[in-house]
Amino acid sequence: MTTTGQSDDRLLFLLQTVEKEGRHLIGTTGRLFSDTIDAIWVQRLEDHPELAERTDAFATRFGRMQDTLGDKLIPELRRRLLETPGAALDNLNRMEKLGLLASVTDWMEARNLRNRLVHEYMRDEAEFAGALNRAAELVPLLVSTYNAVNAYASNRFGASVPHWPAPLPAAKCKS
Amino acid sequence: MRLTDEQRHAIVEETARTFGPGACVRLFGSRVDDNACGGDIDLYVEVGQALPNRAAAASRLAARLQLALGEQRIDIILVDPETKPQAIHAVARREGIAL
Repeated sequence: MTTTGQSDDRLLFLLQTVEKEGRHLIGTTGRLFSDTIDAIWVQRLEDHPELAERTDAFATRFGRMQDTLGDKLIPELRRRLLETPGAALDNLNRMEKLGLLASVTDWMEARNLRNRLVHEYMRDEAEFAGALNRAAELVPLLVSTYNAVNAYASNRFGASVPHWPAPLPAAKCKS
Repeated sequence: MRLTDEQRHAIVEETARTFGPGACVRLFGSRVDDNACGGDIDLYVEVGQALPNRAAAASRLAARLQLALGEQRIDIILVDPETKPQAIHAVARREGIAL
């Protein structure tokens, strides 16, 4: 059964990839947000290149996990369920209906925030700080969505797989 | 202006739902030009009250609009009384069309 084998591999590969991306995102989030981030903190980035790089790493990892989870893993799960993946919004609505995504609106907000983090860098320090803080609040949404997709796929397709990809540790909601 | 009545209505309604009836929303950028085609929907939104997190509020409004209008790029400049003035704000106020 070559075809099934290959699609098993793809689902597993994507689960492993998102798990790794999630671990990196959780790590950077913990390191970056140990400080209180506000407009003054953002201004200081000019003179602290290592902190600016950490900020970039957070923005990149926040976007990367969304991309792999939303644009690759979720469509692959739908294929495995013998559904036809659609546009992103259609796939997200389906995940919400299956109980694997808490809120499509929150997910779309995270996508829009990610664009702001990339394109509005430093133009308005207070706004950039707000974008960072809200993005950190939405990290648990990405983590819980991965964990829900992982558990759902494991129930259906995991029986014969010896090393199923691990879930992520629950990300603490930034208060 | 290249917006359907339905799009225009949804934008006005969601903006008011998010920020209250006093919020003013303008369309600017390529969608103002009747001869262009496609393009992002660029919105300039001005609110009278200071917001705790402008980036979050703008991203949230864009998300609600994407759910209402279908998936497309919606860029929102959100200005409250504490926003640092930028050249683009004056352009959007001058060239934008109030919806």
